[in-house]
Amino acid sequence: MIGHEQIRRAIQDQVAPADSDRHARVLHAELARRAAAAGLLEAGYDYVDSPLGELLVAATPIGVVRVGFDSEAE
Amino acid sequence: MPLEAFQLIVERYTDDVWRFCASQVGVERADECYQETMLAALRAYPRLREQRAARVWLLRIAARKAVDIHRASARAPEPRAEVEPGTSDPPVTAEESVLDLLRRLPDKQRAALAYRFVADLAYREIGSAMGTTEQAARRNVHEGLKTLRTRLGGAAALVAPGTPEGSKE
Repeated sequence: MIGHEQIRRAIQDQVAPADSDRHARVLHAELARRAAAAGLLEAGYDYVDSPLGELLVAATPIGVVRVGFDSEAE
Repeated sequence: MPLEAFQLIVERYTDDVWRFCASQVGVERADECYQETMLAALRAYPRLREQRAARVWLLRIAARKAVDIHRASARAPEPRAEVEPGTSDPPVTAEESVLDLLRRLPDKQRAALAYRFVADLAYREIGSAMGTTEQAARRNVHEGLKTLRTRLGGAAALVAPGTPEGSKE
């Protein structure tokens, strides 16, 4: 008989995204796009590759409001 | 609107919400459920009174969005396997995962199991999230598990499709 713990682990294994960080960035970028399209967004952000590493860029419909390294946000 | 605070919530709980969505509508539609959840949350955010309750609040929205997705799917049903006369559910096939079976559960049982096993909420919190009592939450989890165990029969569906174990003959 299959135990509850086996079912719990199976469910948890099967809902784990393969690349959590990258997937989260894709989700956030898409959310920002949809929110802006719906007129809900005052400021959005995205990650941009640069020679110095990945940059976090936050912007509103009228311009960039913040540029920084990802680690600065934490 | 304190948008910066909402962005922090998005960053903090993206993983939790996406996993919960995947458990409710399957990995293939989890992104859609996630986006609908977060957009609804952004609209409702000014009315959120307790920041500490944000996680459960988001999961509750996700559960409702998952039900919407299920209902939309039901209006445009996909072809399903033939069901033997006298049985209520089609048999589990080798390609089906435990998520496929979870997705077929009634809304309350499916949500209760995800609150318990994916979000790791206590029964009291599940009851609160579902607008029921702690006892009703326990009953929903119990009934959902009972149905899953009956439908699973063997352990094949416990292995994610595409994994080495899942591809064994």
